Amino acid sequence: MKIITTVAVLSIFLFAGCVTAPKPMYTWGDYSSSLYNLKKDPQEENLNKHKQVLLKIIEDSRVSGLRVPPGVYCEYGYIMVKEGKSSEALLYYDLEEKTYPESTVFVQRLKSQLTKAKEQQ
Amino acid sequence: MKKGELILVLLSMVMFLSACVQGPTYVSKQKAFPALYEERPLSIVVLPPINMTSAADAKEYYATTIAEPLSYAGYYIYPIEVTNDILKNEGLYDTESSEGLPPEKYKQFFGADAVMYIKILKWDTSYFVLGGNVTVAVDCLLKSTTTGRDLWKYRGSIVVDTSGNSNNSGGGIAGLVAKLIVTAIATATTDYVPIAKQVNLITISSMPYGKYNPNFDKDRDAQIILQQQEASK
Repeated sequence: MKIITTVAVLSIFLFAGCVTAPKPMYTWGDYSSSLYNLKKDPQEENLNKHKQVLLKIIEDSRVSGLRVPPGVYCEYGYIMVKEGKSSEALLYYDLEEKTYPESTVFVQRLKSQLTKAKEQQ
Repeated sequence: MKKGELILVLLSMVMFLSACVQGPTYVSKQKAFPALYEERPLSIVVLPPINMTSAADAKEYYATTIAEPLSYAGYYIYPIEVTNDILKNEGLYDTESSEGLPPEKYKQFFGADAVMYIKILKWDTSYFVLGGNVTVAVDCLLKSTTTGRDLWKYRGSIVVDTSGNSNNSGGGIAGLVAKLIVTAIATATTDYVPIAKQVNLITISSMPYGKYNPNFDKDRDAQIILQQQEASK
């Protein structure tokens, strides 16, 4: 009888081991709070913090083998445009398009804006 | 009294009582939002919320809370910071102008399958003699950019008692959630963002999952609380 109990208990552990917690879909880090701070007080320090948060999301996603959340690459690329770093911006725009093919129409629009701006310079 | 009679009396009493307490009516997601299951949109452009409150900053602040929960629901959400900027440049950031545009335009412009219209109905603090309440209420409507049909709509609201007393007015799950965060906001009564996030969770939980969620298309029978018609005005 004791053996049966032991086996039963063991098998519960075994099965419990099979049911692992589902993998999270994304990691958003401190996204909403750093964006909130930036909205509340749009100064350079808060913009830099938000940029760090975006980069950390990208890095953490890579480490955990997760897809970078929708729009994150693109948002970072857009900030790069504002800072005049167009080649970096294109890199992040490409990453958004590659990760989410449904973003193509949108990303192409952003890219053409960028080339137009370049020509005007 | 015979045993059978007693049971009958008890049963009718139960029926009578349950008729008095009008609980929420449940409905399956499939039945509530058949158009969404038909069209299966993947990409959503979230328009700047329409602020129907007197809190001028609600629009900007609320927008920081919505991308995250919608992405977890399984949809591609265009970066709101970027789309808002583009809409501003096109003169479409203001309430009337973005609402007046036909949904099909957002397909041409962004390639979006669907467009989300959000109304902030309440974002206010009301003070009583002892303490006060913070209320956040939103109304969400998802429209197809292909057919222009309503794909999903829901209204969520939370009232949080900031007086520090434990009796809050939000019932059910909302009330429970509100209780958990009440201590967090007791010190800063004007910080609506944590409340907005909870409202989003409750509201978006009624939304059928999109393609990036592992439960995509498996939630047709999931039960949600049916909302009265007036809620979808």
